[in-house]
Amino acid sequence: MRPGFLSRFTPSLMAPEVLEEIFVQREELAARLVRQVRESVLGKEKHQRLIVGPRGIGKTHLVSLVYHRVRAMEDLRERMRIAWLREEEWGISSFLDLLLRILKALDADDPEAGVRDRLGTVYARKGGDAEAAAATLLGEILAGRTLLLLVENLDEVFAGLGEAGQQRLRAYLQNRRECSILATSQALFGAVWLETSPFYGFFQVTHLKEFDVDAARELLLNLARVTGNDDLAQLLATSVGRSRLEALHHLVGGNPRLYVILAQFLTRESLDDLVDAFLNAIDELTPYYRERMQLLSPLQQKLVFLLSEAGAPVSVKVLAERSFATQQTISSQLKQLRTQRFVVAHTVGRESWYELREPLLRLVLQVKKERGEPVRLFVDFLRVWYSRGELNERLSTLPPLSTEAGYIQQALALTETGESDAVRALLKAREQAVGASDWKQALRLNDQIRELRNAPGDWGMWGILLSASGRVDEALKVLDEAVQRAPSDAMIAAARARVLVLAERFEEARQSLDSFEWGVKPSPQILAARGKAWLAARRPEQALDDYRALSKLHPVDTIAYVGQGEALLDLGRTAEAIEVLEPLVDQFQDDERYLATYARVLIAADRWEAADQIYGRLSRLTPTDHKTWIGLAMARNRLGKYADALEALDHVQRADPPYAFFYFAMRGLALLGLDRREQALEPLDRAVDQAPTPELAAEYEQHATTTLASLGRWPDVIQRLARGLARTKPRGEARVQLVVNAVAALALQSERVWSEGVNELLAHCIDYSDQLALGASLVAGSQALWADENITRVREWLNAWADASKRSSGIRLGYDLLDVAIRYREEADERLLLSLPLEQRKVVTSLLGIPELDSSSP
Amino acid sequence: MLVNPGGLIGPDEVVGRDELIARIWKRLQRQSVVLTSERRTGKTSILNKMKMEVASGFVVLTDDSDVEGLHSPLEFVERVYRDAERHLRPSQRKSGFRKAFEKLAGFEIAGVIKFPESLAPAWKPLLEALLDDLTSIPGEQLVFLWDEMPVFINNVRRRLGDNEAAGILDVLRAVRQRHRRIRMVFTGSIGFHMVTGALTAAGVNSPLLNDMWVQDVPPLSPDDGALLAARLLEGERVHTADRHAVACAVTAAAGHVPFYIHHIVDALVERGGAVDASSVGEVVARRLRDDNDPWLMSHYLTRTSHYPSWQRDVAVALLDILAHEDTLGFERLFSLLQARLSAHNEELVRGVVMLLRRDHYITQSDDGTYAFRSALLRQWWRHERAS
Repeated sequence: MRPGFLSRFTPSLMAPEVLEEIFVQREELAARLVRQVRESVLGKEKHQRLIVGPRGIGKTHLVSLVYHRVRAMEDLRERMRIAWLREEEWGISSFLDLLLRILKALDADDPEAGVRDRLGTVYARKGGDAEAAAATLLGEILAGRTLLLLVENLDEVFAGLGEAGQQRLRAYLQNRRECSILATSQALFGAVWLETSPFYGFFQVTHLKEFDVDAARELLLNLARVTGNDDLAQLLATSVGRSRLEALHHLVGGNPRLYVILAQFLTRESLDDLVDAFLNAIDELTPYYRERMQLLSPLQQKLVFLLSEAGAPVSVKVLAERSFATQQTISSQLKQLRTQRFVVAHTVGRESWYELREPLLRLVLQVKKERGEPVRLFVDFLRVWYSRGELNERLSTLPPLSTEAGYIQQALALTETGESDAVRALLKAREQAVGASDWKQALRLNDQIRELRNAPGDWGMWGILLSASGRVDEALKVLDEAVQRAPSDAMIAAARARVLVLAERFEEARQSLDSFEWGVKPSPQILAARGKAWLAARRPEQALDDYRALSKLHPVDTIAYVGQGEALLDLGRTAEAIEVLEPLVDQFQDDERYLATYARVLIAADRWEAADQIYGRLSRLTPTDHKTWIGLAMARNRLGKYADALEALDHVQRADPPYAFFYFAMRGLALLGLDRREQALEPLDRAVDQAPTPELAAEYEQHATTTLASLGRWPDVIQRLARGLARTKPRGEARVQLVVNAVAALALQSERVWSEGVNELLAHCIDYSDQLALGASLVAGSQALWADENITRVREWLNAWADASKRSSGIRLGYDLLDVAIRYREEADERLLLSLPLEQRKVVTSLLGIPELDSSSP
Repeated sequence: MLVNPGGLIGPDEVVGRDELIARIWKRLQRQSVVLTSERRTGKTSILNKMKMEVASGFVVLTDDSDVEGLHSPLEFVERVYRDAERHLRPSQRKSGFRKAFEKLAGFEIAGVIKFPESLAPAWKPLLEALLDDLTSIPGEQLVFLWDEMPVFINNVRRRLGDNEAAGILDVLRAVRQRHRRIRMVFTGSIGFHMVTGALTAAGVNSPLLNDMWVQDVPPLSPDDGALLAARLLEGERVHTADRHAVACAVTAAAGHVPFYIHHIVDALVERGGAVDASSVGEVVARRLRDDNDPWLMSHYLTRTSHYPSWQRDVAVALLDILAHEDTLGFERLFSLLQARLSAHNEELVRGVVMLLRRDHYITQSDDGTYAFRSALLRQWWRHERAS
């Protein structure tokens, strides 16, 4: 599927399997609709359903899903006909038009029924005759079956029918009792809710709710999987991804279509990219909002514009004044706008205040008016805010430790039998060399084995050994040759896939695994090898299936359980991984790989006591393995056993990247835990230098800066900031984090340092984006001060920024937010919060740790 | 049985109306009937059940009962003809109606799908001839069951004028009086009183429906309401430890009105999880507060805007008072009204009370006190007027 499909997907064009795969949150509703269709087809009841929601909420997806599910039901096939009137059905202006569309839709759904040929009998007639003929023809086509009529944009169809046409339709439905309708509409419309309308109360109405963040995440993960967008899938699994998704949620208000359109921005790294691309997206979204606005009356449109200009909630009284209408009129219009999900209401005392429900709508209207500046301002701020927040979370898992040796060992387990003594001896020696990770020796031995027998498996092993010793390109060439020699050798296929992964040719690896004819019952060796390849190709589900099958064939083989553990770990199902590995840990207590995998699982599950024990055991088995000692140090740090953590790290002779990072990181944390802050600085600095990802670098940068701050070494903090700003790009994540750290450090100093400290920060943060970061950070930095419940101190902190806020609009926003927060804490007046737009208000309520305002909306 | 508020219910699924239907059949032995009630109380379902389960001694001559889609008297004649034709014996096919048709149209009726528009001015004699012919069908009573009759009459009134509309009712009345074997059942979602009131205002003074018995379709009995609710709870697989208690709570909250019983069970299904009797109050309160107005209650407020303004003010004030009282006699009601609004003539206020009863807002008990017709409406009104 093309990447472009992600932003433009049209559910009615998608295959049923894809529809099912990306369907989120509404399974109960879908199942219920299907049950109702079944009852309508198989019995005398006829359900009439109307699904309501704004464009992009998922109506068509739901209807498409129901369509495919009922079509697939054998017992309904002969008792039902389906006519689907899609949203492009223009020009229905009478009941006759509707009947003709239905007949044509039936023809499209089942050309064999010959409907088209019989339409001539209708066209040959005129006026009322034609309508009667069409109704008669429909009855004949149905021949006692039930018509399932799917109608999109029912409001438009009904508008075209007019009252007379609606009456005829309702009479037809009541008299013939052969039709069940499943329809959609963007909003509830007069023809179904006005008491005097023919269809008043006729439909069972469901209003589709917006997605919450969890559902949005699930949707995007499903889409990422279907479209092969690994970047997005991986990002969504991280805390960074979650934070960005929450930021997006504030803007789009839970509309699935908007998530899909804007999801591409989640993976953007540069702030510049995000803002520019966001402005482009707003251009793209303008038709969507324009269409929604066109559904409103002129007065309602005026109210929407007034609210967008105000930015913050407005009382009914003020809205009435500004629109030169009575409060009663405005109240009535606002109620309708609430029903159509344009506005939300807040009640403070006896007064009602209204604001736009979707910040995105306000930004779209603003950007058209003001050429983008407020958008830029707020997006920057929001991005900074969530960057700081997400970095406060601690990483809970280590990166996976290398499984290279384990793979090789596993491949070696598939030693062929029935060889000569010489070969057997060489095979055994090779096994030992592999066990000791002596790749040079293993390769030499393999060369000798090849000379003696030249079996395809030896070529396969040659490739494996080359890859183990880091000679990936050579390994691939060898394995390509091996595949030529033995195209149906499953072991070679598995090895090749594994090496393709090492060469970062992921798509080829996946394709090679998908396309190989593995046979109905792969042997245990193949299951083991293939499982490993699946894991490497990031297909843990397939790997899990193979390892489970392997455990049934070889219940005492650790490979099967280790493999399951690793697959479940990759899938984030740590509880299940523990269920698999825990029962056998005593049985396999001498198996290093088993223990190593189990220990990783325990760390992922935050089971630190158990991890401590297992790493302890492992350290006795593999005393020279630095990974074990580093893992042990991590567990001990988490348990507060800092001295013991240092003792474990003392066993590490040498650690290569990425373990060097963990070594220094654990060392730094242990020293901090023992309050040896001066000594902690050097390993923390080394950790920053060695960090394998920017996120880890930023985390430890923060530790280092906080440590300096706690030592009162504010000048060193400033120096650190200056160095960092010099080496990082403006608007990048790392740079933002530097500023955040520095401000947080300043907050830890005494008050007399603050004012001058702010000036120093401002002197270094010349770039506007850095100043924005300052603005966001001054709010975030106050969090530690709030914890003391000392409002005076928080006020002093704010005052220290007063001058700076006058000099920089980037700082002004943060200053104003903190000011509102302080005043709210002092006065407890909700109207203070209502002076802020929705998205900014959420920042303040989160800072204060109070619930968001209760808005009266469904 | 699945929740299906407003949808088409199979006759087998109609609960709690057997007694009412039996009373209607019994009444039809003597006179024709007008079934009246608010919209969505199940009049159509009653009619359909009567069609499927015809009482002994009756012949139902209607297949397509719903006449709201008709817009002219000629279309009505055509409908009556089509529905009744199959009941005519072959010999009757050379009947007075067919002869009249041939004479007026100039061709035989056989094979005609739609009556030619040229026959429109002659609809009266055609209808009379047709109904006369039908009296030759054997059976004790011949019954026409027409749903949404006021809508049809209103359609004709708007398109062709009051006299044509009145003419239809007039012809039907004359047929009822001429042929004692013919019975008719009319139902209407918009009130007949609105249509006949409009005709009277236009100067049509004939008593068009006074020979028909007016039968109100009440809510279900508590037991029947609970039975319906229990079937829905079972059909929708709602988890509960005491289905009977929940069913009783549902029907009580719904005022025993099937439409709301369906809706409340629907709300319980959407709520999910295990439910008990207290869950009913919780979902009702939430739905009544819902901005989307899923139970379409807002028409109770907008409907009052059709009253003349002084009547509207009094009506709304009376309802505001009753929203906070369980029941009130007229004297107390009037005195509380006086405290809110400037002085009104007591008789005029009594007129508004009658209006509210007729429009199904309030009801009068045997002891003469007034209260909201349903607890649901009262709860909604209280919430709506407070916000």
